[in-house]
Amino acid sequence: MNGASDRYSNQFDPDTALDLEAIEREIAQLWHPDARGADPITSLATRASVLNLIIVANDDEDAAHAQRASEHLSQIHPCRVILFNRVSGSDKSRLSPAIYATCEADGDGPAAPCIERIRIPVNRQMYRQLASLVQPLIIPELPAYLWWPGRPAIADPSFVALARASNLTVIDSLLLGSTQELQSLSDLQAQLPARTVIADLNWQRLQPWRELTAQFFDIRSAQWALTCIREVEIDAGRIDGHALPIQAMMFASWLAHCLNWTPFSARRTRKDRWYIGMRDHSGEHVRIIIRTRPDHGAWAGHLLAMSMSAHQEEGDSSTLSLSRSRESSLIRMHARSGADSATHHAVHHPLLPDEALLVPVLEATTRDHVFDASLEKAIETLDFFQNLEAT
Amino acid sequence: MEQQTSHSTIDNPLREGLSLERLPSPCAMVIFGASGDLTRRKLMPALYDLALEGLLPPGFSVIGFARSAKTNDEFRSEVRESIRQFARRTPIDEGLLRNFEEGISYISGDFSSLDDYNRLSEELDRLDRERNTRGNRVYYLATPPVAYAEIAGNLSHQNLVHSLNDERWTRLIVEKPFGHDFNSAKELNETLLQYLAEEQIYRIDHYLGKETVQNMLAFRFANGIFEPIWNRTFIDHVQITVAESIGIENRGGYYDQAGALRDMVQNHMLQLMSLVSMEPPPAFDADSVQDEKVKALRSIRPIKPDEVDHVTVRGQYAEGWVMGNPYPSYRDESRVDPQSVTETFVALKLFIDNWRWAGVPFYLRTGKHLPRRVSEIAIQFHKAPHPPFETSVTESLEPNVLAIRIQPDEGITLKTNAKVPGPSMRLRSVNMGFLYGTSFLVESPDAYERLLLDCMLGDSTLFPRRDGIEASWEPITQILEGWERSGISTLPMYPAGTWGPDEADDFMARDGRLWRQP
Repeated sequence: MNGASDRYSNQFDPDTALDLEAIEREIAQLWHPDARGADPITSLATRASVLNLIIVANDDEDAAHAQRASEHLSQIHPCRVILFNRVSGSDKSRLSPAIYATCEADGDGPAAPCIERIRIPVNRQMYRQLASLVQPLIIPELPAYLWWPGRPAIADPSFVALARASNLTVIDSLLLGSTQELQSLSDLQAQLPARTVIADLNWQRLQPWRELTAQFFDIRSAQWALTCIREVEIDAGRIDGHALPIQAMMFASWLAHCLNWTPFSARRTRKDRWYIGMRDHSGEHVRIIIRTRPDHGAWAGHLLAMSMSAHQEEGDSSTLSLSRSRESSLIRMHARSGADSATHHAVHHPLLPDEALLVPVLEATTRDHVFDASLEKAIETLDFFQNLEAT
Repeated sequence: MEQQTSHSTIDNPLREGLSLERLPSPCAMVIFGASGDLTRRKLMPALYDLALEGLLPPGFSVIGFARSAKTNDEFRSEVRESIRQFARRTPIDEGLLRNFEEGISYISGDFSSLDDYNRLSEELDRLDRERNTRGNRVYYLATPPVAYAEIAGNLSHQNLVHSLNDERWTRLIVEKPFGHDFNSAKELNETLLQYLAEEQIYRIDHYLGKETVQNMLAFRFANGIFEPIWNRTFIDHVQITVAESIGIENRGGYYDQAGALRDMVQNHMLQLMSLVSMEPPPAFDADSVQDEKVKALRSIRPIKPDEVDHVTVRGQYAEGWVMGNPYPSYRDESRVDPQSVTETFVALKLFIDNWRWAGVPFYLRTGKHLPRRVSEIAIQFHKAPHPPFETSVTESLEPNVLAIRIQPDEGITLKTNAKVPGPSMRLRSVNMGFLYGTSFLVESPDAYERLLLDCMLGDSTLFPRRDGIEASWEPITQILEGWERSGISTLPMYPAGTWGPDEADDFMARDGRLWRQP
């Protein structure tokens, strides 16, 4: 990336705050050569756009975070960003939309294709109409992706309407209040058209853990263990309120889905420990223990370690353990299967900001049926908990 | 022994929904000539960047093999410094780097000593036992070409090459130059094929690992609007330029024997020409793509010895200034013969004799110490047949040009004509640019990252095949023979920092055309 970032912007008169045609005119004006300080003859503006990114920020803090993230995202997914920033009250000075085009300028050369951002503060009344505000503002014939950076109000009619108008809706289940909200997420999926994709950043965070687990079983001499797993232990960073971490629950549910395990029992055994009993396809018992560890700061709710062991009647055993290293940027893998020598591996996986997680997510065009099935398995399992939240 | 298969989802239900195709199976890489610049600047930083992306397999290990005496720790220390200096992605993840280093070892050995290959074999066995590399090997020949046959032969004699029907795989990467003419390339191919199968030999041309070169395939074959006009009916000519601002940089010994034609045209430029001229492959797999590229190369019109001077221009740089720095003439460079007639600039005109390209000239131009570093392919279309404007308006009209820029500023520009705003009909050329690097601001992977990964995955799509190498040497050898017959004792000179000798401009002018100024 060369040169400095060059911004053009325009701020509306509050009286025109909801004049969507004026917003359109302003966007066109931004591309006028005069606005770009460019020679109208030799520099014909071209723009690369692959999608519309609609962001709904619950407050100013979320909006600032989303704005930073969208700048990074636009580098890989050039797009028009439409950011709705929820504000309280009816102060007109706070309801003024702003339009920006962020361009990369290289020295004295012409400005490179720019990224458009429309920021529209919305009060309670406007919030109810979000879906109708979006349609006139998106670039036609390009997919519209919705990202809700804060805690998503999954059952909120405005959220549902906006999700229905989008091709893909991105939420972060790490921010959900409890595992019971997974049911709301599943209900939302049922309400959406089949073409609409739900993507979960928390599921994306599991990707390296799933990848490393799968890698071990790519080795043919280790594959016998897939049908003989007897115990799985999952450690996650403790969350305020001692809730069962959704990420750990989804990892367990992913294993259960892929390996055809069926839950039959679940209970909270201690304040920081949950037990789930599953049966594999041959009826053998698989014990899953989820634990939380205190004082992990930014890692609260995130997986910290996972180990699984498998045993065969003939005496063969296999173990796989994954753990986040002290450096935190690495996940280390140690595995042994039968008489094979130990396998050691490490992958770079620091705590990723939302924008880094969103990069692959925004390439999705179809539903991730493994996520859907794992979510269903999680809901099925949660039904067995009699004392999920109690001590 | 184990190997991943493309059916892993069936074998491994945990693979469901996870991409497997970019993850190689466990392996060890042996770099011959590991103390050289290529290892330091390109290979090790590329491997580290692959590790950072999580694209190296568990237990991945590297053995450096070179004559210099050094310990494992000394070699690791060199590797660490090279990664710190040249890795694409910074800051360096120190934890990952330590983990990467654990898999690095060094053997001080002679390429001709069988005892040293026995030590290599023992080290590879140790890696199989201790790091589960599973008998899979990549041998990278980062050595002078004269050593290729000897290394391949010794690897084979010491049973370090697995046959194709063995579950363990062996792959050999060979750097350019691959031969110095048609016969030597053919001979080298035949020698290597005594020890390895064609599917095990990866002849690397780093140009093919560049993102824009691959994007050219996407551009041509994923869009329906270009192929219908990609032929003699619409295209006037094609210009391929690979200009270098640098000189020969301490490579006088090699370069004075090679020259621009062998150094750049035979490999990079003819590969680019084959990509731009090939027919659409039925599938994007190695054989389908290579088949079409080879067909295009084989269709290059043979050049008779007495035609060579009409279709080529050679030049040699004289002293001059490039980007504000003074440089000596080529003949004054160290390890260059003061009477040398080696070309540092070459321009040539080739024709592809097939239905699509009959009569369309392909002009190729490359040189050292040109004004700037740039590589591009420019497709110039015929002028509009009958612009319905006044003569004064149309006489300055330029033809449409589609320029595919490979480096720097990768992207595609289309030159069109547009009306100048105002009351009268005045026209002017306008460039519409799609700059890859500023539309998608993410940094592209280095070519070596892509190619090393492809080799570990067994994907040879971006590596020239034997017949492709030989087909590309045929016209080059014809030109070399023609030049040899001419027996000239001096070449046209061009001051360093200019676009080549005047003769190159005359060469185009004879055809009523001009070189682009990229």
